[in-house]
Amino acid sequence: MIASKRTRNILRNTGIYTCLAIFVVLMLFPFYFMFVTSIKPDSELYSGNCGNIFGGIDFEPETACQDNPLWVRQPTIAHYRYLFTSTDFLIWLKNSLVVSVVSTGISISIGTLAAYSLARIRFKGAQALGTMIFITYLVPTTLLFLPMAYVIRSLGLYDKPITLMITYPTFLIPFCTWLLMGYFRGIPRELEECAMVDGATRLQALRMIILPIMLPGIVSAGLFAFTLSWNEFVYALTLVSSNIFKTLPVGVVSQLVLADVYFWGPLMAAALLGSIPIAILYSFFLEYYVKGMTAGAVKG
Amino acid sequence: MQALVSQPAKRRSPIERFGLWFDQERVFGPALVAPAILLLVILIAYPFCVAIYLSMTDRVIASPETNFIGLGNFIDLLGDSIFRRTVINTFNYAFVSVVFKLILGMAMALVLDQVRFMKNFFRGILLLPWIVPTSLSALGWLWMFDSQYSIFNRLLLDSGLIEEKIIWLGTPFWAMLSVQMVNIWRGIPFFAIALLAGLQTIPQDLYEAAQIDGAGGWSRFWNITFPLLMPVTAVVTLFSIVQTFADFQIVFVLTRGGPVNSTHLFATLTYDVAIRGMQLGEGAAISLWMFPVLLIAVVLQLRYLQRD
Amino acid sequence: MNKQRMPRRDFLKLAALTGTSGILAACGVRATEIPATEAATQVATEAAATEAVVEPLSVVDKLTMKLRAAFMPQGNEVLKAIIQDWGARNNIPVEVDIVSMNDLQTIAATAAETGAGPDIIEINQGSAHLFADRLVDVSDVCEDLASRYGGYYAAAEEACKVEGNWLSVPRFFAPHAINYRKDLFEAVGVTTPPATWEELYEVGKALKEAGLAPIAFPLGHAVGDGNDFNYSVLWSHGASDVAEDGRTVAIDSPETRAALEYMQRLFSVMPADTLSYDDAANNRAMLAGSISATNNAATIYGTARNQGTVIPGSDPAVQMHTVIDHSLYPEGPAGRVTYAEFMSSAIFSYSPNVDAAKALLTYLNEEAQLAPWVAPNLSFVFPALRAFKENILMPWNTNPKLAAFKDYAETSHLPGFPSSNFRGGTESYARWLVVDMFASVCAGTATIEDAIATTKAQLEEIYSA
Repeated sequence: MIASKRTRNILRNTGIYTCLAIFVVLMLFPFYFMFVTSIKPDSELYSGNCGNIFGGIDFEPETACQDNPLWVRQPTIAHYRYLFTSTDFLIWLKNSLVVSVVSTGISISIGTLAAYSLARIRFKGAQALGTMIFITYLVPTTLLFLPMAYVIRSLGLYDKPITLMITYPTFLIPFCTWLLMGYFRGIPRELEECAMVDGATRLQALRMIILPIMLPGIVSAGLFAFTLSWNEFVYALTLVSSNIFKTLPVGVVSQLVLADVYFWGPLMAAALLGSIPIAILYSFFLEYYVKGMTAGAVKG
Repeated sequence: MQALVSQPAKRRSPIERFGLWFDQERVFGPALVAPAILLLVILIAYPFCVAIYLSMTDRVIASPETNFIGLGNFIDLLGDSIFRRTVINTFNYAFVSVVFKLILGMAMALVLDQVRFMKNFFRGILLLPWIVPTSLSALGWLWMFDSQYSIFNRLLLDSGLIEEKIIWLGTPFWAMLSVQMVNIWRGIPFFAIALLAGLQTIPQDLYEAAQIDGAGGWSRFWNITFPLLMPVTAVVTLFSIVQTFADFQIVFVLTRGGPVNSTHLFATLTYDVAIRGMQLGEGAAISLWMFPVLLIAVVLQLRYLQRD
Repeated sequence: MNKQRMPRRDFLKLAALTGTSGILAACGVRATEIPATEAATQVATEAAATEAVVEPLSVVDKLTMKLRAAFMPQGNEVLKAIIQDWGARNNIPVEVDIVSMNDLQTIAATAAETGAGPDIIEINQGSAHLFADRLVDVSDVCEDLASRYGGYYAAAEEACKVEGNWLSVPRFFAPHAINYRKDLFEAVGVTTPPATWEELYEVGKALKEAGLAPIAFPLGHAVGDGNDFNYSVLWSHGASDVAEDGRTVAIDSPETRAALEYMQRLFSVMPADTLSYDDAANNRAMLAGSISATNNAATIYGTARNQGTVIPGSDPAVQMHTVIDHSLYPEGPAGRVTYAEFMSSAIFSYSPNVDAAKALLTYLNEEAQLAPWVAPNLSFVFPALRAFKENILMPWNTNPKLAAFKDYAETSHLPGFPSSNFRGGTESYARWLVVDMFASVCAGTATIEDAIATTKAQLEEIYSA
């Protein structure tokens, strides 16, 4: 049977969009479930299993069987309220923001300078230094956290506000440098040469000509740095221990359990709220994220 | 290139002379890289050396003395059943996760490539698992795997697919599978986006020519798409191997290495032994065992990148 | 010693006016303690006079302390208020941080390692032995409190006394008991809680055969419950990881085999996920009605009461806390021996505020401050001083459901028991050697012989090194 082109197209599209739908469900279901849990009152959450999800659960709020894990009958904001009033959630949120912004600032500044130098200035040892910076991938934070904790402690910097702000750049800078080097290579050399012919110093050329052009690259690197900072866990876990200095991921994972009781409602609320800043940032700057992710991979 | 247009000779102030000196390539270049190198030396190279030193001692937190024991820790670890288990776990975890991330990421990329309607929107939301903090999404999975209230058990039981509930995080086999699942879920978007970008650089006429020659979809994929995506695939896969090998958050949040050490990875075992067990020397040795594999992966990556 | 300090001038005036007994009373000494004879009175007066020499307590910057978060938020709030009140009255700024147990361990280890950190840290189990040369000798505080309040329990001494010196002020036990569902036990004909481990197994078997919610005890890395259960089973079978000399590894014994064999049998009537239980898992399971008994502090009962948990499927709805009861740990062949989950307050030697710290710790362990803090904590905290056991304000004396927690401390010991090598014991505990031994046998990943052999090798590294 030779199907008409139109039929083939319809079949093909059905296939593609079905696959798409499956992927969407797989990727996003956890978030949906976290959300439903966060607005579900405890009585519904812990009421035990009764009824069959597929066999038609009755949705009447008054009957004894309270349970449908995929849906909520009487949504409540009690968990969110608990989060804000009875935990240090807002403090952790503030810490994460401050640490991420400062680390990103430091990393972008240092990284831009380094990337510019390595990408466009010929000097002895440039190649070697570039490789050296890249090599730091060999020592991920989960390998380094132990001696890092040791070094930080002996420097007297354990459990202080600036502890994370100075250690985070160590894994942000290599990545930013690498990313920005790719961007810098895409800018024609003539630009700063012209500027310098007109009497500008290298620094001035960099500042006034190159950087404005580099803005998209810098934004991209900055977003990545911010995200990596926000999501970082093992340094925050091992280098800081006071409640008031913890970042959000560590605070939520370590403190929202009182003795041996998990409060799932507030936990899910916290997990969602902790993800929102990044999700918002990312939805506005999606193109930059994608460019950043593919920069290294595609350009090589 | 000459640094400056020559100026009429005159006495220059120290600042000007400094400016001139600074502007030379061989000064300006290193000067700009210096802050980065300085930070990295102090906070990466130095701790790394400290790790090597610690791993060759028997240091315990707060103990009054430290003894140098050479390779003692490394050798003892080889004889430790928990460590051997951890090695197997990590390779298992990394290999299985990367393979599935690659396959499913490729599938997602291929699908996205064909999507016309609201393409950017879908590309955006499918990226969420990668963007969101791992520890927080892992908490969500912890709830979904809960031995009492697991939504997966509920769905599987209610639909009749299984008879008895699965203890996701409580049995050694399922626990490893669960953490792999979460890692795969988180990593698919990363592969997908990179491969998608790669896909979009493949010229359409290649496909059209093949189609005219009678090649089917599968054949087009293997003979055109896959070879041309090789560079991207290689870079992304190597990157993922390094990340997955050194993974911490997922196992830490979901199982802490249990049950009975069946999901311990190098990083989580280091944490358990050194921070909770207070054995600094042994912990350092465990983490350094990661190094050879990472070295190979990074060297390969470098070679690949420096090819062009 | 903490007395309200009086300026010297006033003291002398008072002495002149009221005579000896007035002085002693003003210094807080109770009437019954006033010595009868003249000579003794003379000595007492002189002693009191020198002691009243005055210095108000002072601190460098402020007094910082990190305490363990107890289960009931009210309990934590009350404690903070008591401390701040003391600080205000003595003109000393105090900073209190109430943190989870995991964090506390790391904080203590870091403080010991770096020689900098909070003045007072609450440490757990035998940590005083591990940090011995970083801690201030607090024998004066401990001996004072012990003489006033009936002395300390054995486990308190095990934890805090290092080579004859008190290096940490005993604070509280976190007592455990068997938490069980009275209604389900009665459904299989059990009207009195099991007195021996064998009886517990029989009840478990009956419940499983009747298809009712099984019993479930933790075999996973549950810091409180897991260690508590496994060590208790080990010791009450007469087995232990180390011999009395503190060096010989004694795990390879018929008693250990008996304990392992028992655990295997018990596991056959328990759900398989007990292998992955953390501290919260048995709480959740019991509150959800999926298990009928476990070992725990009073937090299951407390949560059921606070959240109004209902027995699932009950119609009319029955409040779960009405059918939860607690019983003492069962006895084994060697009697009843239990594991101590114990906290003590340590002053680190780098602290510039030792006097103020000692004063505060004494103050906090006196009756007037202890009772208001213990009361709302629902038996989650049990003072280390013996006199408080019979205190009528204590929750185990006011609520019959909590009576089982009363005798927990008496039979409790620290890892390292029966030797006095609590340093080795704490290391063995930190590495989960006992718990993993039981778990591997139940999980089927090792035979009894293999498990003993593996554990023995690991213990030898610690004890015989």
